[in-house]
Amino acid sequence: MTSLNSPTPIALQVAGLNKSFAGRPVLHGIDLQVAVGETVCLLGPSGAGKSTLLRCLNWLEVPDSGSIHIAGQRIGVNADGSKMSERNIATIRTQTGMVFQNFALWPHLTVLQNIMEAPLHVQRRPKPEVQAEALELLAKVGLSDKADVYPATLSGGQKQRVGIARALASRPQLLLFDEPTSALDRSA
Amino acid sequence: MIVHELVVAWKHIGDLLDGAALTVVLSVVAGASSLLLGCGLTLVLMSRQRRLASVLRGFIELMRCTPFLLLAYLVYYGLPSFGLRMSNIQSGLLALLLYHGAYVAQILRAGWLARPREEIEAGLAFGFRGVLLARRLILPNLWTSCAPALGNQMIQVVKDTSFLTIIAVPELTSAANSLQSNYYIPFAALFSAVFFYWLICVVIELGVSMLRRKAERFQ
Repeated sequence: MTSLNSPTPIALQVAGLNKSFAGRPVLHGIDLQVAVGETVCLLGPSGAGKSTLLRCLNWLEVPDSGSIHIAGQRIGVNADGSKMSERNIATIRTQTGMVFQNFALWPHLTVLQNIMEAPLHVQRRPKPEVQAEALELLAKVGLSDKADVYPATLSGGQKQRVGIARALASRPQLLLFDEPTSALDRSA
Repeated sequence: MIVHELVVAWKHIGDLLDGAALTVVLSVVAGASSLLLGCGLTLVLMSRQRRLASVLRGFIELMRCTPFLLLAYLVYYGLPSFGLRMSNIQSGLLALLLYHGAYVAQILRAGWLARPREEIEAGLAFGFRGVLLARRLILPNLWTSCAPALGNQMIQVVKDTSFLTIIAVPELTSAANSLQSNYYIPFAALFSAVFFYWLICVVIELGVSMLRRKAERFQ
């Protein structure tokens, strides 16, 4: 495994990615490079495989072949070609944030708790720091007054903004947005 | 005649209350432990431990197809053949735990499969996995969405304690039965027992609806 600290201008490197569902190829030889700080949009008709590609990037979907490096680290496959352990995959995932197409907020946690959940329990950062940052993010997406409500009471656009704040709260190297503005209007 | 029966039953209400108290203790201990066992079984069933999971599926299948009465006999009379000797109450509790633990696992597994996949995927995407994922993000939602079915199962636990009368556990049914045969007051004695069972079940139903109301905020 390469060191996390080695400075690399490449945030994401995808090479020769293939994925098919039940024999039907969805991704075919995808090569993609994203530099740190760069924004890349995937465009295409529905069913083109945009979501599948995104879900392969953090190994929610396991590609058939090809390689993915996040901040210089290969995900899913060890250096010797063997299958990577869940533990190591999870470690790499902590460097990515994801905003889901249908938001996927955790229904039993308040808006603020949703944002603080991963930084507190996966990254184990101190609570005062995490909470201050979460409140700041919530202000940034214009939902400071919703900190203590449950996701069920939010509109689609509000849920999406909470999803974005949640993704940012883990300070990810790589942000994956699946239809990030589907429910947002201009004011949001 | 019926008035006479009721008067006699009332005179011996203490015996019934003793039986009811034991029924409550058995129900609470067996109910709580089968919830825990079911929860543990579900975690294995849903994990990558394929071999262990299929062994557990076999166990659950066996429990679902065994009449509880037979299982109670088997634990009490059968286990001593393997050198495992337990008191009546211990045997009864073990039978209840095995039987209802399997049912609870089945309920939780169905509830797990019915929850939106995204809740779990969101957890994975942020680096949750294994027990942490289950404890923080899966089980809390599972308890609330399965509460009505689990409540029903707990009522079933209460009613199944009644079978333990046949391995001489002095619980409510046993107390009512000896009362009716000693004083020949079948209706009053047995109906009083029904009344106490109903009271216990009402408490469970109230608990479940309280839980539901609390959960309504986020569902």
